[in-house]
Amino acid sequence: MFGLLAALCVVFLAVPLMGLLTQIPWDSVRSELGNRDVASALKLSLLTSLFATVLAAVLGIPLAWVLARVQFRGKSFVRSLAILPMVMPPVVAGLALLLAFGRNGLIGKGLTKIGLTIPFTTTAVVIAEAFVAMPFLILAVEAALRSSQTIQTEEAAASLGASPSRRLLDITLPMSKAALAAGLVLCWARALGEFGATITFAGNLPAITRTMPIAVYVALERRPQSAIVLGSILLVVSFLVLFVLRDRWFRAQA
Amino acid sequence: MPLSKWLISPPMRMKIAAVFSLALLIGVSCGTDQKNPVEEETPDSQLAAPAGSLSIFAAVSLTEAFEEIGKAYEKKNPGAKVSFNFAGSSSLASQLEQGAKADIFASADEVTMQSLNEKGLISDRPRVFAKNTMQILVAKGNPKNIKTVTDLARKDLVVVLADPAVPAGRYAQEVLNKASVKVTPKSLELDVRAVVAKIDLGEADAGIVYTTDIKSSSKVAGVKIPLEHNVQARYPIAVLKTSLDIKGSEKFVGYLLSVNGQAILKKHGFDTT
Amino acid sequence: MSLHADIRADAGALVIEARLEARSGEVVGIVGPNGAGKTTVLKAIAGLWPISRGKVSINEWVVEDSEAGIRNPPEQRSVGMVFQDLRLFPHMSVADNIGYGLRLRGVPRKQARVLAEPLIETLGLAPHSKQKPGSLSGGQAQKVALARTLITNPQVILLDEPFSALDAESRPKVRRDMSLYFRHPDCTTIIVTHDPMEAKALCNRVIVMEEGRFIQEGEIDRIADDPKSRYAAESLGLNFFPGVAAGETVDVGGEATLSVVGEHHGRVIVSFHPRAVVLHQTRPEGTARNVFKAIVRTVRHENGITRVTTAGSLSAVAEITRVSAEQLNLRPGAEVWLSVKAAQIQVTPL
Repeated sequence: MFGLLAALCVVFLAVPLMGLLTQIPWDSVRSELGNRDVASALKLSLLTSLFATVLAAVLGIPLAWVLARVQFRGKSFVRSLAILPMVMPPVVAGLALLLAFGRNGLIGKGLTKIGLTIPFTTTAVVIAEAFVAMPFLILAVEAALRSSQTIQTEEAAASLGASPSRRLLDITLPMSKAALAAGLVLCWARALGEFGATITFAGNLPAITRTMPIAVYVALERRPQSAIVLGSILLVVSFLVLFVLRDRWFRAQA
Repeated sequence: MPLSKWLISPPMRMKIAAVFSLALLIGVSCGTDQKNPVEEETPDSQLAAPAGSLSIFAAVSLTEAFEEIGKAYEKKNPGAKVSFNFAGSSSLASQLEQGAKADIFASADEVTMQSLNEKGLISDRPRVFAKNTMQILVAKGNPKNIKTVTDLARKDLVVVLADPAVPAGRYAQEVLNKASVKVTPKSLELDVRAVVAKIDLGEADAGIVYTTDIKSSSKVAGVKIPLEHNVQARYPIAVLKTSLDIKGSEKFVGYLLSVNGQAILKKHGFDTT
Repeated sequence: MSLHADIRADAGALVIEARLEARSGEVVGIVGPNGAGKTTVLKAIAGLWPISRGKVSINEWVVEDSEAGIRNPPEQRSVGMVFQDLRLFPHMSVADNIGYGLRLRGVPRKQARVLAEPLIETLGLAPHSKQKPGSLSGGQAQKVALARTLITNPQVILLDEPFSALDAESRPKVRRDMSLYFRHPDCTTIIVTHDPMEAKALCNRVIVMEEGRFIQEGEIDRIADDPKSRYAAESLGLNFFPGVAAGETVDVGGEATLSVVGEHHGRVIVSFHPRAVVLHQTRPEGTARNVFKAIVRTVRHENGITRVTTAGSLSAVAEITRVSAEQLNLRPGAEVWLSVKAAQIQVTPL
């Protein structure tokens, strides 16, 4: 029974991919790949998703640490807040970002006064992607940092004379490596596929804010055939990255 | 049937599962090879909408007008029901090409309708039922003092347009070309209502939208574009070949073209034929 | 006085109250049933468990004092702890695990490996020094855990069941090798153990801990003579005799030689339960080899059982039924013969 369901699951996952890949108009692949707009959308997507992952790591890992290790009032509230973007419809996330960082937004108003306008910029793309993708990183890292094995091993290091910062570097980070890697990859993958929050908060302009998912959508309106090619390129690139990272990070742990 | 017949050993079950999934894979991938899925479509009585219910795919700029017309039509024809799917004309056309079932398609431009017609999805000749013009959309009270299309080139303005992939975007481009104005938009929104939203939220100062869109928000105002720079958007409507209720569909189109239908369109800012 | 701890701590529902003093060079055992709070006492001394009030000082240096608001973190206490669950660093090699404490003290990685070599050699870990802890046997891992702590020369060493994962064969050797390190005159050692033989072999004195409190404290033989609780009687109230084995006999001094089962050589501890001792009014007839004459010291009745301590060439404790005690007419000062079956005697190599 389990085997049957597992097989069905593989079919369920593979069929849409097959649908896309079997329909690739091969004669137009070369021209699409050479298309400057496609190249710039792909470059923009890779760049913004990378920056979004870095931003999520810089802000999200410390929060994951605090959630895992520090006791304080309102912790479950903060944790819910951190996970909220995961369940929020991306368009709502984009709207919320607009109302916060937009020209008339809560913070945006002040920023505009000092000459910083965020909407319709590449920065806005990075912010939208980080906002939506960060929960994946926080969840994975927090779970790892809560591991009692890691905490106990840190205690052993402390009894040998290791200061908190040495414990973090020598014990906590190496022991959480796999979870950290998984969190970063999940976060990056989510950022790469981001559409709703980006289009709402950052808009759509070639080379500035038109990421691959938006390019696919635009292409679908005008030339569905080219949307298939763009979608397949995005899929192949993400699959390759996931595959290579999985090999390097996850298998090394075993 | 004895129960034991269903008791299959686990390895056997695995094999069955594998064969079954393979068959599914092949079956589905063959299905996608069909050149024209619509022609092979057979009416599925279980999935079809109940008799008297019409599914109408319409351009997003028609939202308010069509909703009112739908209500009036239902009132006039007890038992009849209409449901709408509003979106950018091009994405509706893509959905229809990929096999979405609907009775009627109302497009914001003739190009999109024409492409559907060429693919043989339309049962009769499309008919133009309304016309629309373009206006410059600004925040209420026009705080940036935008008077002409030329003003849109000002460096201090944040201008958003619809993407040329959708009709409103193409019309906006045509307006700019006619006025020989070069505008650097901050964003090319995926449908015309997103342009309205950006100005409504104060994130953009100006855009070019349909005249009829201006009424969709209370925080915006329109600036008229002179006739020589303006374009006329013609809205064609057609009954689709997939319709299960051609008669009912034609009745709705007839109502749209009647005095009553046209009056409602006019009320919402459309020019009528 | 090297270690002074007077602490109160909460461990779930259990309140722990412990007052402990130990000199440099001393090895103190804490024995007690599961859940008595033994591990918590060690953790509190190490700074890994919060105390609700009290004071801990090491060589006159106050590392924690709730009244004065002093609390040094564990890494600043010079207290080394070997955990029952070992807690090795899974991502470091055996050599790097052992050398970690040295590296924290500023020794470069290469030099730390060199400095760790003799210890690795002594423990027979040399063939495994490049392996990760995950691939070690339980005994090997325990040796690594011991070595990792001992190499840092802490002023206080806390050992929580440190030899429990070793098999019976390798335990005496590791125990002997390791005790050389923690019997250092500058070092105070506290060992939590459930093995009375281990306590006898390693500790100068023993503390019996039950339900969060220290019940009894002293040399293990004194506790065996007069256990203050059922647990102490069951686990420590045994007859222990250090001796030298030569084949099937063990010379335990005082002109007494015990016959045992199996071949043994060198220094050993022989032990047998007081219930294994049979008392007689006159020298018993028959072939019983382990027969000794003694004088009754004390007689104590408890729950139908009579505990008799004796003095003689083999000063053993006996537990007999009250009925037979009355038949034997046991009084302090009375002459008595005792016998023990060889099969009842346990021999533990030292």
